[in-house]
Amino acid sequence: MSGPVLLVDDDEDTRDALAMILEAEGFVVAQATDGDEAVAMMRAGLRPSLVLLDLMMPRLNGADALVWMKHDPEIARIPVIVLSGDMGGSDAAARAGADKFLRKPVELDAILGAVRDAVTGASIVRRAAPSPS
Amino acid sequence: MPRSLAMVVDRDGTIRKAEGSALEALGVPGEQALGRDALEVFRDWPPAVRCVRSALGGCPERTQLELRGIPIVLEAEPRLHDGHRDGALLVALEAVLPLFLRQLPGVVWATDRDLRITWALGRIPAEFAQTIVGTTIGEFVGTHDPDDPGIAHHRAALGGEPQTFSYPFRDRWFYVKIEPLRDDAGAPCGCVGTAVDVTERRRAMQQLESTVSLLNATLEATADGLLVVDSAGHVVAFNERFGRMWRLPEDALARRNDAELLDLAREQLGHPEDFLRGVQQLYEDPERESFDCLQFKDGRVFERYSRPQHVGQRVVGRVWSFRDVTERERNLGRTIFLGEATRLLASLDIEKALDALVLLAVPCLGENCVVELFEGATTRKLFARARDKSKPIRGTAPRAVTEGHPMLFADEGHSKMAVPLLVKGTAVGAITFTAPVARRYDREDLEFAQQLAERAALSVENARLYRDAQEALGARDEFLSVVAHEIRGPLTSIHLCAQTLRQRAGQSTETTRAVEIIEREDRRLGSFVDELLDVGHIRGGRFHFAFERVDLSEAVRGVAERLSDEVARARTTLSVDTDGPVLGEWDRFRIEQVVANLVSNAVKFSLGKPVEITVRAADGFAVLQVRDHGAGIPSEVRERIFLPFERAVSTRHFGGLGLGLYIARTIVGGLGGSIDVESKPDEGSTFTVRLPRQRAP
Repeated sequence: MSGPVLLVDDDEDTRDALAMILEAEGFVVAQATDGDEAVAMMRAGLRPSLVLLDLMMPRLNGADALVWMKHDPEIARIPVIVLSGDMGGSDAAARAGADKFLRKPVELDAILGAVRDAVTGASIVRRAAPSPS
Repeated sequence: MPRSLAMVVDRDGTIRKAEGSALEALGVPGEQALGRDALEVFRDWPPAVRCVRSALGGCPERTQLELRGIPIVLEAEPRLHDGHRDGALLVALEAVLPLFLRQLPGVVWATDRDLRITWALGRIPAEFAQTIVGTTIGEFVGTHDPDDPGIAHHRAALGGEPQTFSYPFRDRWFYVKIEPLRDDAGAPCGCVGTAVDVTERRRAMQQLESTVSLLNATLEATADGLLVVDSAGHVVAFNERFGRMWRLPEDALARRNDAELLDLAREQLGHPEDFLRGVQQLYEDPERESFDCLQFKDGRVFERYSRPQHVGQRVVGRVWSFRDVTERERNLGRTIFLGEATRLLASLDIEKALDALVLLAVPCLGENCVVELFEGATTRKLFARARDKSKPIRGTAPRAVTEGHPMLFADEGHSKMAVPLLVKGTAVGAITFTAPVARRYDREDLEFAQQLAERAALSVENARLYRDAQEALGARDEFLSVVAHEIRGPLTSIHLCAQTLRQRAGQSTETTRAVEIIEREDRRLGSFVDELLDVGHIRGGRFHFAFERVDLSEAVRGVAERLSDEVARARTTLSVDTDGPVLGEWDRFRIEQVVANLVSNAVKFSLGKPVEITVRAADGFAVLQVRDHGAGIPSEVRERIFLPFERAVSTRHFGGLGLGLYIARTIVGGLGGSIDVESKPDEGSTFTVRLPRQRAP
């Protein structure tokens, strides 16, 4: 699969920061403000290569969105990394079928490492990135 | 008529006067004695002849002779005229008579019209022994006052009226009867009197009167009601208190009709059959004492005691004593009730307490008890109990009570009382009691109900305050959680951006330093937020562990490395002493949290001196020790530091929320272990964590 990394989080600044980091690494990023929007985008045909999913969101929250995703066999294959401030979220996430759980506030290395691992082997659209000094 | 004789003989012994029925027995009846020679008349009785001769010779003499089989005492006395012997006076009486009279403590006499004593026999005072005949009554009693009762009664008898009276004479008392002596024509010609010495009896009577008076005074002076009955159960005597206690009407008491009085008494009692049976048993066992309590329909309580009444060995009746102990029993009952009620009302579960209270109050205080709690203008909560469960519960408090005024009132034939539960002058509830049919509540009952209401109101208020406090705490915790959560969002972004900046900082040391500071502060904020959230979870019961196999030595080394910057900045050293892997079943994240917390504290308070960590295994336990050589923790504070929001030191110098050790202890406790501290002022502190290596089932 080659698709963008889908960021699902109701906090704009968090999405902004994550997008900045990921785009600096050469990933293409798509954003959704909550579970409903994420599901709508995927229903409309978006096939992200990875979903970074916040758990606590209004309307359709992360756990429910995840459950929906796993019901569709095509979408179920998309790896999901769950981000949450809540410790208890890790159990819920694991049960719902998330591939990884990261606790907020996330460490830069942790998020980058997790994203790289998740999209290993996938052909992704990379933009030329300035080499870090 | 007793055989008697009175004879006067002259100096020659010739009979001049003779009277008496004995003359016939002598052979000289009626007038035939006159003119005869006395010595000759008595010739068949030599002792009598001797007597007469002796008297004629001037010496009084006395003898006994038998006259037709009847013993006669003959007394012969010389008569004197101008100092010369003038014959003798002979008096004879049936021998028994003087004996009778000697036995009789008294005197008999006869007088003539002039109240001169013509004849006297009996206990004659010694000084009159020879001279009584011829003495006037007045001379005898020692007065000439015609109003003296002795003289006056004689005169009245002379007038024809028999007299009976009591007369004091020489410190003795006499019971006197005087009758007129009548001549052949029927006219009074003298008096005959008897006087019996009744001094002793009179004294006894007075003593008896005095005793009876004392007895009556005692009977009436006692607070108990007394009733005396004979062996057949008939009322013999009672005191005023008895009548009043049993509320027996005056006329019924006067009639002394036992059956009526018994009925009047019985119908007041709660258990009349028991009462009767008890009484019956005692009649069947008259020697027994009894003691019991009588319960009245209207709530009075009497103690009843009885014992048999003896005269000598014989039981002649029974004495009943009644004591009204209603007040005492009431006060005792109230004290016990109040104690029990207070105990019940000490509970913070007010609904449970009020339920138990109404249970206690019925039937102790009444037939019905209803407790209301006002919650807002229209809503009321009810706790109620009725003795007779078939009847619907009635009796919410009248309006006046809900406005704060206690009340006695009546409703549907029952006496009722209602008291408000007052908190700061406002009624937050009310209690209403209904009395059983025969009983009426009075002021005292109302006052008691108010005492109860006071306690209940206090209890209601306490429960409310407790609830409010719990809610406030809950609200605070919730607020803290919300705040922490909200802060976490922005921190995520700051954290990522700070890290990104650090990577891109380039050569500028200033920028690098600035970014490092931002990162550090952001981590600090993150850690505060984590602690707040943890505390919220702990208090809300949402604190969970994720168990896995953890090597404590490795975890400690990891934490030590992560904190190396902090250690360096505090200008102290951190040494880790482990003895190989120490494996256990714990929550890795949380264990690291505990270690980080303890090490961080130690470093913060190290005052530059070294901090040492040791990890050991011992008997199924892992033991971790973190030791510093700083200022130490004063003993009075040592326990408090494990409480939330408590610090060992002042805010200004050392910052922090004071939650770290509270969370650490909760974690360690939740894993089945313990955390303790030893500390000496100015020498430092050692925190010891003991963790069971196996998770408890």
